[in-house]
This record gives sequence, C-alpha cells and structure tokens, in this order.
Amino acid sequence: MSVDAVLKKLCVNTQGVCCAVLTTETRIASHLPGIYSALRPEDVAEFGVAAFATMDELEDYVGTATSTVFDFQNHSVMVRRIEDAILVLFLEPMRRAQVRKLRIGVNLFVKPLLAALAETPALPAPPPAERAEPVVAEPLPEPDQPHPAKPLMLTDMSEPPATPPKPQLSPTKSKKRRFYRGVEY
Amino acid sequence: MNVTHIESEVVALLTEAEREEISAIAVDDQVVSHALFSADGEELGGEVDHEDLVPVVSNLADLGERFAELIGEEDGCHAITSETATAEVAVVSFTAMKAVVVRRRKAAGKGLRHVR
Repeated sequence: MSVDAVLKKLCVNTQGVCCAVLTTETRIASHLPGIYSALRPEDVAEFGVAAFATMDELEDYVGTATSTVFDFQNHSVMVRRIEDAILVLFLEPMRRAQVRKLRIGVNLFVKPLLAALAETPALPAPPPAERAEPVVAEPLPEPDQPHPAKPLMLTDMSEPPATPPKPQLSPTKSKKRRFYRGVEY
Repeated sequence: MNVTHIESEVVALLTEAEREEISAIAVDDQVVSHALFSADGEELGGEVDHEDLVPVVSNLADLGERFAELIGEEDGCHAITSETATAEVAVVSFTAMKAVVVRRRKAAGKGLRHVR
C-alpha cells in the first residue's frame, strides 16, 4: 500500500481527522480532500518541520518532543514525529481528552505508514541544471569554398589518395538550402 | 504561580478568568516552570528555570500565528501543547499576553487551558 493510501485510510477511519501530510527528507505525501485541496503540502510540511526544529531547542530541558498540537478556532493541527518522518494532521476542534484518544487511534497507522515508507523508493534526484552557456550552432562551410586540405601522412607523400570525381550539380541544385533548427536562412 | 508575584501592571491586563487560571497553576505541584510573556517575546513574570524557555516558546507561538494566517484562521493560534516523554509544554494565549506552563507528564492535561 502506498503512503498516500495509508494517509487516506487514516483520515477516513479516524474520527476527527480532516486531512494529513507526511514529510520525510526525500518526499512529501498527502491526503488533502475537498476544501483542503487548496493547501499546499509543501507549506504544511514546512510548518511541521519548523515546529519540531523549534521544540528541539528545548531538548536538553524537557526532552525530545514527540507531538505538538496547535489549537485554532476551526481546527487543531497535530504535528507528530514518526521516526524520521513528520506527520501533520488537521483535526476538528476537540477537547484535550479527545485528542488523547485520537492519538491512540493514530498509533494504529504508525506501523502501516512506516511499512509504506520502507516500500516506496525515495524520489529520484532532480535532473542536472541546464547548461548556462547558450548553444551556438557550428558555422556551416561555405559551399564555394573547398574544405582545407587534409595534411597527408609522410607515408602517403608518394601517392596522393584517390578522390572520387565530384559530381556535377544541376543548376537548380547549385544553391544549397541551409537550415538552423528547422528555419531556413 | 501566585498572582501577587506578578507586577500589578501586568495583573491589570489579565481578565478575571485568566487570573483564576493562573491561580490554579500556582497550586499545581506538577508545574515545574511557568511564565507570562508578551507578543514580542518579552518575559513579563513567572518562575522559569531554563533561560531558553521563553524565547523558544515565543518562536513557537509566532510559528502558530503565521500558520493560522496561511490556513485562514482569523483568530490566530489559541494554544499550543507539546509533549515529550516526561513533560508537557503548554503555550496559552491570554487577552493581552501569552503564558507558558511546563508540567511533569504524569498530570498532563489537567487545567492547563480553557480560558476562552
């Protein structure tokens, strides 16, 4: 099962969970149904990472934070650490005791999430950046100007290489059509 | 936290319900640290045993406010609760300031907030 599918299952089967975003160092997965599709998963993931980065500054004082809940008027947002991943859940407004119960419900999905993360390969590295220098077309040889003579090897001095006779071009074909990237010039 | 330990100018900015909540925190023996601080992160009173506590939770509160703006929550962030294996850190928005309470985990969740 994919990470997205597990997140969807979590949202559908856990009462009070509206949407979910999971982020690791290499990927972001999300389930943002309905009105939550307006959210950018990157913004939500960035918020989750920043929340733990801030709390980690108090690590020597209170220990490592496992979850943080932000209460707003219409939602609560739970940010939870699952090994190396950070899970952000949008919750319906609820009392603290309900949040505790919900945390137990979310625990049921920790194992499937970790299994899905292990199955899913990390995103491939982004393609290398385009060349900075503009591509310059090689100058075409002038039709009337013969190619510069190729220097002969010393062993060939006695006998010049036989060159096939140059075919006579018809008058209509005398002017060579030249194209640069498909455009005649 | 005993309300009398907070300067009168600060107490004057608290509502009756907020004073009651602070009084409840004062008699809670699970509370290990607490402080009132302004929106700018300035400590206004309390007993804090870690110098980074107020600056860090102030940053966390700012993060909550910014996220509220991003997701269209007009009233901002009311409260933040962060749990560790041994403690619970709660940041509560009062009318004119914010409060942070650090409580041992055993009694976590008892009367930390609910002043609205």
